[in-house]
Amino acid sequence: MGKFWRKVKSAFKKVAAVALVVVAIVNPALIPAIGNSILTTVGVAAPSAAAATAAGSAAITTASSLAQGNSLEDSLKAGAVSGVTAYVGISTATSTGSAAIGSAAGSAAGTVVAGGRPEDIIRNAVSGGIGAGVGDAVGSTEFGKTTGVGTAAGKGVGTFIATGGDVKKAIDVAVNTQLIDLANVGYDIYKDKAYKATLSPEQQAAADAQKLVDTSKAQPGTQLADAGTGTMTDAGNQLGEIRVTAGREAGAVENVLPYTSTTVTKPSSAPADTLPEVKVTAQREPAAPENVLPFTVTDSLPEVKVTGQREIVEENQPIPEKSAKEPEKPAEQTPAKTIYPSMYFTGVSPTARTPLNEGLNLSSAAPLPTTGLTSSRGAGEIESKESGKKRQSVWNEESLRLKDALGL
Amino acid sequence: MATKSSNKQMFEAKQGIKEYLASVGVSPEALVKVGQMADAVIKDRTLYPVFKEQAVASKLVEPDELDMKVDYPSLAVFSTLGKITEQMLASREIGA
Repeated sequence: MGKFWRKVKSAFKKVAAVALVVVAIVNPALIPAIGNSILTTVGVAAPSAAAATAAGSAAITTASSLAQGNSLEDSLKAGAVSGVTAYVGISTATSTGSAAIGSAAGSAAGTVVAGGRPEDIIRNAVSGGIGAGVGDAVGSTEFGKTTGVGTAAGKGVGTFIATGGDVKKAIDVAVNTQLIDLANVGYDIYKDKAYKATLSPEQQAAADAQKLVDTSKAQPGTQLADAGTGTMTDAGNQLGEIRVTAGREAGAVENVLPYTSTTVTKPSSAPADTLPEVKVTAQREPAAPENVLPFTVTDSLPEVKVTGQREIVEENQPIPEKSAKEPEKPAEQTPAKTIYPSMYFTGVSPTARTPLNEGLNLSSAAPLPTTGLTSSRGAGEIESKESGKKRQSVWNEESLRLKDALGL
Repeated sequence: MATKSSNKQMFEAKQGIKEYLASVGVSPEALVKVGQMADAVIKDRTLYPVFKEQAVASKLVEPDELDMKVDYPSLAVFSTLGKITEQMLASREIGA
């Protein structure tokens, strides 16, 4: 390299450093244009405006930082942060319809760069607060935690080292492999949050439901929500019966019993459902005197004559003893009964003198011994043990023996 | 919206352009033309070889400064320098 070219080189680096700082001021449209070209070069077809601006901002910021004499690592970090910031700024203006950042996409990144913020960004990057800083900028800690701008810078540095100092490759890697993904994640998070912030809770619920519907249409079979509580047991190869029950759908229903409705119309002349109030009045009865018996007492009772037949009581009739416990029965009026007492003959009739008496020399005054069984009775006649009954002519062993003894 | 910081940066940029033009001995019109070519390359990268040839021929950059591939940061620098120079010419801050 000759002296001239060294002079040109030095002059170019010096002017490039100041030129890159004012790119956004002088030519805002250049940033997304460069970003689009970079992304197209590395294989990103038709990138979004936000992505192109982010890539362009990152590339220019990195180059500007390098031109100012900063290290590659810091320059890449600065470029990454600038790109994400530009991306988020554009997303903000787009999603909320606000023109706070600027009407043109590039002006957002331009404001960041032109406002002297690259220096601040670099300082933040050096202090290691890149991810957290971006996360705060987005309003979500998820952003800084799950991605990390430092990763993009690290990738760029690694590429730079691996390629032997290829700055452009390092930037391409940082922008393509990490920054775009990072920006997309940040954009989605922010867009969702910014959009929901403008909605009422009901609208948010409806939006979420519509999102599920759209997802189901675009990707049939996608599980849209967690299943309800339940337990599923893996039975291996053995399939069990699965019973699915559900409520019957509204619609034609069979087996419906006919129902006839009868409408009863009350005629206009019909009496009202409620009867008018009726007052019943009466004269109060005089109060009855107290302690008055409700019957009349006469002075004398009518004479009552009691007549009856006197009961004949036999002296020898045994009187049954009454049990103390046995209740006393009322006396029955029965007709008088004639009682025949049992009578036994204990002697021989005086006129009944027999030859035997004569042969035994028995006086006539002395009573004859007798058994009493055969006295004044005929042969074979036995006195009935029943009193009052006619004697029966019965021969039995006793009478026969007596008969033999008597020689009858 | 121009801020105090951006005005300072623009002033420094214009001063740098003047020093740059004086250092390499290139006319402002040449720088504007290269800047316009850079814009064209950004839109159509197939024009990059033509741009590189013209930039080196104009002695605005040494041959090894530009990569064989599209050097977008350098394109951004030339594009920006061309526009600032065009404004300076229009405002007669620099003469032809």
